[in-house]
Amino acid sequence: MRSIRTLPIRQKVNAVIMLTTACALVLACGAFIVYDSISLRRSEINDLEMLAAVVAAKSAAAVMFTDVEAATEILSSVRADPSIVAGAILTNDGRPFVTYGQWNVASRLKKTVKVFQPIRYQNDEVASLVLVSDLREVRSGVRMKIVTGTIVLIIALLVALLMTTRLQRLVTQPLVDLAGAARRVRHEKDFAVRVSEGTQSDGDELVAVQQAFNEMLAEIQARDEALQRHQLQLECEVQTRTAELSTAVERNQAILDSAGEGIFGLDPSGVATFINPSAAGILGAGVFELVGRNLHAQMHAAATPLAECRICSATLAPAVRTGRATLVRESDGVEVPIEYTSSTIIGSGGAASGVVVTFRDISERLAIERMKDEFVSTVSHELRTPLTAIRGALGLLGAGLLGTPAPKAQRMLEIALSNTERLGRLINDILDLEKMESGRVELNRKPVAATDMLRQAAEGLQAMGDRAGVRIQVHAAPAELLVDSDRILQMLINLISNAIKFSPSGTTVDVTGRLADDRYIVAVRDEGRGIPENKLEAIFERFKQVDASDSRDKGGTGLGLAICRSIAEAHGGKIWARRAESAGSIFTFTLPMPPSPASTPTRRVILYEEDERSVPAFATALEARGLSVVVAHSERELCEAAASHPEAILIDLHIASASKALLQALQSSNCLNVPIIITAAEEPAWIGDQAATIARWVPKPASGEVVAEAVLQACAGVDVLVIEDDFDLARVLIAALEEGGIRVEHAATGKDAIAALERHVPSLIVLDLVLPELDGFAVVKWMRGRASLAHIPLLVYSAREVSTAEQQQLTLGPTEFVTKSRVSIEEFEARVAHLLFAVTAADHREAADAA
Amino acid sequence: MQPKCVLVVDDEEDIREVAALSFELAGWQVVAAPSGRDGIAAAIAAPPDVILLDVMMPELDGPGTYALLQADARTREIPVVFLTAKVQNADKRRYAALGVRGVIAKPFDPLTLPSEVTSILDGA
Repeated sequence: MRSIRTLPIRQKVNAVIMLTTACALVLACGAFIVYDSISLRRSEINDLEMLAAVVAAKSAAAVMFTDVEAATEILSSVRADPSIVAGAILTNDGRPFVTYGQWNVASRLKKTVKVFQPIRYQNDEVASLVLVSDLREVRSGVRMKIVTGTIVLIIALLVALLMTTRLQRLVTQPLVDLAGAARRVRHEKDFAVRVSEGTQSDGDELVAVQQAFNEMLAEIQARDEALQRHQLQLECEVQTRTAELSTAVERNQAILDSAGEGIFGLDPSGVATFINPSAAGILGAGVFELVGRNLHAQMHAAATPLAECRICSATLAPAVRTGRATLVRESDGVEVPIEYTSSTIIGSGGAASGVVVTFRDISERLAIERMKDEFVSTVSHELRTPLTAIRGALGLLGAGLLGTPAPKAQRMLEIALSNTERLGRLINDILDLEKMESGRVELNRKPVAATDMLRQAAEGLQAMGDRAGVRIQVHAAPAELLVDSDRILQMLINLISNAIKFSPSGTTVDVTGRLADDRYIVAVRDEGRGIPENKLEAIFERFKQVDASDSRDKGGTGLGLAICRSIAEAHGGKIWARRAESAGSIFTFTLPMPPSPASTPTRRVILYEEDERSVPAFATALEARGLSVVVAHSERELCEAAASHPEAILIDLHIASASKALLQALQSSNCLNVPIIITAAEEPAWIGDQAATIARWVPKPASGEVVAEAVLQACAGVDVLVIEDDFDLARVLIAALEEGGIRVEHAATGKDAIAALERHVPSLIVLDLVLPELDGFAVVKWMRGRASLAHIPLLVYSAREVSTAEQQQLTLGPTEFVTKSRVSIEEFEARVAHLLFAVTAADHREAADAA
Repeated sequence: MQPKCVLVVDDEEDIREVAALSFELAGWQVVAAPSGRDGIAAAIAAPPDVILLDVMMPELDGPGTYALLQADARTREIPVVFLTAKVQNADKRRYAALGVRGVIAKPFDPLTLPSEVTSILDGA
């Protein structure tokens, strides 16, 4: 059966039908033959019995009379029947009376039948007859029947085979067709193939199967076509997108290639992932040479660990760093000065995946700046030298010391002299302005009383006022200003002398000074002809006088107000002009007030410098800001002084490399958290990796002003913890805060935030409400449970409006709520500044209370 | 009163002349030198009461000349006043740091130059 199962359907059907037919025929023939042979045998036996009866009857007399001969004859009559192989008449005691045939071996013959017939004589049983037949007839008959049956069977089977071979197609052909179609579908993926359907009749399942198969194929074909269309569409789309992408890539590449700035990307191990031709040009090698190389190891003159490299590190904070540095050009080993911006790239996992560095070669700019300085210096000398000679000669002549000239000659000499003086002023003003505007002027800030300064200016111009018949009136509110008094006097004299120049005789010039919040406001008012509305702005530009003839008539250079504006702006103030309501003009300038020294008790700054050259300049600037300066003369003194909790430590370094040991010594001397300000020519590489120490670097050469400002910023000592899971937003916030000189720590999850807060308590927390792990509410709840954290100022910076109930849940110390989309970065900074101001003010109050 | 003696060192002849005249009119004795080296030689030859030294000169400039004058025992005690076209505060401070008595800006007023020098010397 197993082999049948594996046969093709046709043969299978054939085999099944033939087997069934054969079985049926064999059974039928068998049954027929068996029945026939049984009935033959029975009739044969009947015949035998009848023969036996006849023989017995005949032989009775012979037996009675013991007539052997007769008996033998009678018995021999059975020979008519050839099937009887033996026979005997047995006496009652069992002895054979007469025998026939092979009686002696009859008992041993097989397949024989014995028939017993009693021989009676007058109802007495006198003997018995035994006939032995081998049923020869029956056997030959059966044999005959078997042969016939077999022949019939074979013929019948042949006929059946013929018929099945023809008729089985009715069933198998549709199946074979189905199989063929299925095979074609499978091999050729041709879903258009259909099988021919038989005529519809209710009972034919094959037709139903064919129909179902065709329908299925139709369905598959439809789906296949739809799928193909879809695929085609997708392919088109993919092609379009690929084209767009490659356009974008090409465009980016073109931008990168054509960018004047050097741009390269590094992976976290400092190996270049891409580099543009400008960068390769600055680094003195080919683009293809540099990609895949460790740029960090190659381009720095001094070896710094990658993690500490402000340009190449992907892990250093802040994420965006700018500065100046020098890089080694590979081709000739020359150090190229650069200005760089290094931005950490945050990968999708939130970890730094590298840095992108944008930089430009500033050697030309530095050279130009140097040239400009030299030029200004040369011009200043070259112009002043002849002017000095002319001025001197004319001065001597005009004074009449070398003989009295004729009145007309005297007048000409006076004209020459006044114009020489004007030319001198012009040169001075131009150079002055150039220096002010290029930001190279150092302000020599010192505390000075506002009233004194205003009076001094007015007194200096009293003579001029008297000559013009103009009264100068000063009303100044007392205030201590932290300004470069020479410069402010220059500005005041300029403004007051202008006012006098434009005032009619008999009028008054009012000079007033008043205090408003954090500013000191000075106004100079005249009763002159006033300034047209449309020129109020323009007059602060160079050579923009109201009337071109003014410079000639009034002896001005046309640069005075431009210089005034530079001076005001250099001091962080403003200057403007407006028309007075009655008549004349009002010139006003503001000066920011220094932090009130009354509220800041003695704040000490330790100053250490190896050779103490800059000590006076730094000390003056620091003291001008209300800080007391303690100068340390050795490292040991420095460490001792550092342990006494100073406001800040200022270290001026000549050898940057030697500084790390010093810093470690400082750290071990129990002055953690004291801000350290380092001035050095190069940025020490370890800046930023001292978690506990707040070290700042001020590049050298640095003026006292710059250093003092850096110290003040560091002393402000404020730091902010930004808890925000959106890295992009966090970066913007951090950059904005760091620009304001505020140290920032960042935590991306609630858990990180708690870990950060356990380490260090910041001055302010900026909190996003929606955070992974623990949300903002949970963080605030945790903080409320800690005495040191429960009153920290908090800025809740959330995407949605916070309800009043929620606000109560979220409030710690001074708390502000800001909705992300509603607030600009500037406003955000302002809020932070406001909260931080609250912090420092509170500190001052505490300090004052303690005092 | 014995007339004072001033040594004017400037590479510009015109300025030397104007300055010399200005001092002479005020009754001073004037020696002029066209370079730092000549100035040092003149100062050694006849030590003046004061040296008026131009800052910007070719070869040996004012500060260089001043350093040489300081290095020589014969001229160390002579007060020096710089005459300079650079009048920025920073420059003034730098010159003051060198140890000179005073700084006078160019262009100067020839009528007041002698009295300015006098007041610088008196103020010291």
